[in-house]
Amino acid sequence: MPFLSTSVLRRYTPPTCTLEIVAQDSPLSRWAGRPLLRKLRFHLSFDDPRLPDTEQVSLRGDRLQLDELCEAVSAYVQDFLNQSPTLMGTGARSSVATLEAPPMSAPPIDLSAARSARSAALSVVEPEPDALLTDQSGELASAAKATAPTPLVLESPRIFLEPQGLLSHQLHLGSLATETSRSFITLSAIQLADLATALDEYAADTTALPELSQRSWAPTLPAWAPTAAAVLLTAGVTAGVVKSLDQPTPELKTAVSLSSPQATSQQAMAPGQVPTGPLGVPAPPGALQTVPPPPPVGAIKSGLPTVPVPNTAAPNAVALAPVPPPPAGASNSAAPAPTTNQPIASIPVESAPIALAPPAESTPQAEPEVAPDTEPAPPDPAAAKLPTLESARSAAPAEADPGVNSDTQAAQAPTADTAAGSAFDSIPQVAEVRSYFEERWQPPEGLTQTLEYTLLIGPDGSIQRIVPLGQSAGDYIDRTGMPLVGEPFVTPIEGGTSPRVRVVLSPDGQVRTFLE
Amino acid sequence: MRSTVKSPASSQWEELPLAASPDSGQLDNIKAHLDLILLALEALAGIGSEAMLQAATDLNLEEMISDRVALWRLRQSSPLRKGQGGRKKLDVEEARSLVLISCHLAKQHQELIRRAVALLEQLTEQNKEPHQAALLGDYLDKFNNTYQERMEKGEDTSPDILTHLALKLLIDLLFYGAPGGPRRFWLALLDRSRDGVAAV
Repeated sequence: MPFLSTSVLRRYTPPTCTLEIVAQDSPLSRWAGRPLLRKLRFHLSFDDPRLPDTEQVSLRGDRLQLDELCEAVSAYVQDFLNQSPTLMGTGARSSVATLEAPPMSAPPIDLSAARSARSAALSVVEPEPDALLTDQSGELASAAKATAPTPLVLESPRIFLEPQGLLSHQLHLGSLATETSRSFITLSAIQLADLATALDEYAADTTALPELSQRSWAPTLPAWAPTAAAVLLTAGVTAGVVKSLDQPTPELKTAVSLSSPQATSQQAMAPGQVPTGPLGVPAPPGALQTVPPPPPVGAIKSGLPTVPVPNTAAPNAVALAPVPPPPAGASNSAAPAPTTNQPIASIPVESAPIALAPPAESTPQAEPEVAPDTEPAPPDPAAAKLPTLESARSAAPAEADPGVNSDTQAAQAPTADTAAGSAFDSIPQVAEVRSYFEERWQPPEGLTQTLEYTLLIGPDGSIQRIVPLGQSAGDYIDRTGMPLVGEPFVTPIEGGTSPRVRVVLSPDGQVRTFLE
Repeated sequence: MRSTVKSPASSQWEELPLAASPDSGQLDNIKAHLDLILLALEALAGIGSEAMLQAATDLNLEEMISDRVALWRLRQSSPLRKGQGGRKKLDVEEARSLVLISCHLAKQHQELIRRAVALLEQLTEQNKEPHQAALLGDYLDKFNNTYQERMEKGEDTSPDILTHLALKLLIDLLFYGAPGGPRRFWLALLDRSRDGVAAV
């Protein structure tokens, strides 16, 4: 599966393996004023110089799988280290020298639905079975042949490791295995140490990041961005659905007539399933909030819906309500005019993937694609990726009624919204602030948290006020290279306004700035 | 409230949590293992007390381990050691300091450790004795000799057991020299203290 417009977020390269964390840029990034990412995935390759290129082992998967791998490796390594030398006692030499593979035990099988769904979604690039053998191993090869044909895709067992003496370790691939691959690979001690190092570094980054995205990035998004997203989303969905289903153009249908198809498709869903939004993608409250009210022409700009819109949105929400209570509440809250604060609630949806945050929900491929996937204006790619056609179908009528107007709105939306945002958007000073800190920011040793500050910049370009956000931001302020209040800082602001700029300094040395 | 200026050591200590203070019996086990890891470093890389003190300085731990005598007293606290002269209690801060120093040294000598482990893998693969590689042979000899010299009942311990101990410690060092090493070492020590394994 090729990664389209994939950008590599992180790359960890201990000597014998390479771990890449990749994600796609979302087209929404333009409006958000910061990179929004989706479809976070990893690519792990073991680089063994003794093997030809074609036989190198390479694993791919999503974030949940990476977290599972992390846990498995970390726990195994700790366990290995915990073993007291004395416990090895007399068997010592022989256990070091042992290369014989023990009788293969079938990996535990986990039939959980979420896991199998996940394994269906992943793609693993696999070399020939033999290539998976590292070095030693006539016996392992035969063991491999014995296990290779085992169909693994449907079962999706867990990822775990098993010692083979002190020096070699079997990594059972669990859900990372594919039909064509073996169920495990053998790692030498050095490969295991390197893998652990790469995963440790990844894990250290994830602890630093979620905070960044969930708590602090959220409020900084321009208030109109979600509106833009909603408008685009609606337009895109509508256009796509109308075309793909080739239904008679729905006129302003009543909510009552809409509710029946929805109800049936909802019933068809598993009871415990994550509530799905119009595109069959799980819809966290925020997404629903932004989706329902596609304002009629003229109401786009501020996101203030006219009176009739909430009225139509609300019944739709009611139709959804029997299955998932949360969206119902969210939609209801969206029915009154979204205030400038409300859109904030939708941000975590988009920022979750960036955060590499430990997965909160059990549905695998859900969250990375939530909002971003739905918004692109040409809907075909998005529609192609829809998990089920049914859910899309069910969404169709719901979205279609205001959608008559949406095609024209789609064209207007960006301009209208940029107009709304341009007062503060993309002033050059934001970039100046960023480059100022990029030159100076040296993360102090031991810093694990992200530091954030709000800088109030005067019309003359000097700092008027510095507001550290959070305890550590205050503690570390003297080590950020922060200029003094009143000191010339950036070029004077055109129009004499006093913008507020958020500065985010990461422990990994990254600097981000954006306008509040 | 956290102070603005912290020594690197104290920030590193945050990685080494302690749920409950170990009792003196547990500390004994910790002391024994700390001494053994340092012994492995000595045997492999020829690290002496000078380098250990330098590591303490690098880590801002001079207050904990100021000089050769202090270091000797800490290591002598291992219950495996011969003689009672230098034995003292090792408190938790001192144990943490030794963890940080060990891992710092393991990191400094990571290349050597990797090479030794790679050789071991290679020889094992070929069904050969580790002694056949000079690096490993020297390491094992030095480890065995020093162990027997310093430890109570050292002479009574079978060479096979000592060889295995030395090789296990060598592989452990591979992990302790990694970025997450101190934490792993610390957790392993605490785990060891739970199991109550004191001596070889």
